[in-house]
Amino acid sequence: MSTYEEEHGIQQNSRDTRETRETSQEEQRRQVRSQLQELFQNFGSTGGEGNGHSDSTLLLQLLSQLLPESLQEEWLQEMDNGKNKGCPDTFAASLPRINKKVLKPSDNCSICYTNYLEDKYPLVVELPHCHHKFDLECLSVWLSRSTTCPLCRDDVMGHRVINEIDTTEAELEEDWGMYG
Amino acid sequence: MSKVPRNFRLLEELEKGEKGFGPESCSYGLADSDDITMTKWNGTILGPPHSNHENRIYSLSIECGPNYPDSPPKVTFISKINLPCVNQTTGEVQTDFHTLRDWKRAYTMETLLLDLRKEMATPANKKLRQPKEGETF
Amino acid sequence: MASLPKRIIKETEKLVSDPVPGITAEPHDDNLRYFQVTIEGPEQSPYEDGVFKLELFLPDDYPMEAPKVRFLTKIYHPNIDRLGRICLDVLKTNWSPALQIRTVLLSIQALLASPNPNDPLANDVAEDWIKNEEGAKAKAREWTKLYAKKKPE
Repeated sequence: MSTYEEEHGIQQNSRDTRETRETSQEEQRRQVRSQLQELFQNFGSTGGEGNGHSDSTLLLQLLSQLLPESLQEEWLQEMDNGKNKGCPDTFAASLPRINKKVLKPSDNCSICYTNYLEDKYPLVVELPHCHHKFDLECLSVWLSRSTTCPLCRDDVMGHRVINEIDTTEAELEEDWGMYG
Repeated sequence: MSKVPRNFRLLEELEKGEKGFGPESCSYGLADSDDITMTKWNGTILGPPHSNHENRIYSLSIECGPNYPDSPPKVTFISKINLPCVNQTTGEVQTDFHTLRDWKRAYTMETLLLDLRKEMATPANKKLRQPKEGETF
Repeated sequence: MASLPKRIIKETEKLVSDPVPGITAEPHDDNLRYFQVTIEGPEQSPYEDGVFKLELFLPDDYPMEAPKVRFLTKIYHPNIDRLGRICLDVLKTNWSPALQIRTVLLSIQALLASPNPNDPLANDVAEDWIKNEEGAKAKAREWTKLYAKKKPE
């Protein structure tokens, strides 16, 4: 059986050749959309600073009237996501490695659940402020999309402990704003 | 790649349809927003340009059964249309229509609506005499 | 089907061998990333004595991405919409790969115990909840009786 992606690939190709005119129209629409989005997000990020930005504030207001609310919301969310997006690629690799000798047989990575010592040459790293340990490989993937420690939500790029996550599941943390 | 189960796949399609990020030439949504099984859907196709379908909007009903997307949905035109792949008494799209016949799990309701639109625009079909606009099956 | 990551196997084993009180989660035979779930309504809540069915799916990127979860049983709750979709931060922006199926299901159970009408997903229900909390809770109890009745053993 072919995979979802393969099937998608085939489908995409046949579509491209059969519908070139429509694709180019779609492409144009997408371009207009992305230009609008850029404008909106640029004004949004400068307009909030108050003094001296009255022009962009005005433009932002105009744009806001023109764009559907749902779209604005989505773009704002996208900006937020962009801000929260991962650490620089070099960050995880630069973290201090943990010597095999200090690892206990029961120590495991809370991302993949594997005991570190199952591997003859475990690559374990520690985060600088909270000292939580993970497999380098697992942590790298996570830090490419987030800047928080998986266990305590410490902002690894800064020094801010946001909130402790209780993975013992004994009780739920209600105060990290459960509702999405 | 793992298989996304029916319901989560339909939720993805619903979100895409609701946001309207799909192509402008077709749209689709749940027929009953209370239906937790997400079986019945409404679709529309904007008739392709340079054909007898130009500027017409066709309504369809789509039924995603329990085996969707492993099995194709059942599609029925509500608006009357003269097309070889459409049963002229019931409006149902015949199961030998190529997209239904060669159905793949990766296909979506959007795939199907766009393929039907292309079918309307083929050289053999685009000049077919069409019933009066606004009639239904 | 691609092989299942060790973590998912371990989580599944633990869910079966050491289940959470009031919660069951069992993978489907033909898709080990797809679970059928039941959650008992918390005591002292309008959902008390109800058993709610849910479905949970672990996407390819799990645990880097949160599980997808939906109620299959109709429920009257400001943070759960008519299609059973749940508004819960750990399923979206506050997901962490150190969380697990177990913790997610506990969070959902906690959401049943303490609805948050100020951050609604089902707007009409939330409005009802804010304007007329007692009435809304009565309706939630009624729906629990109607749709989430425990099956006789």
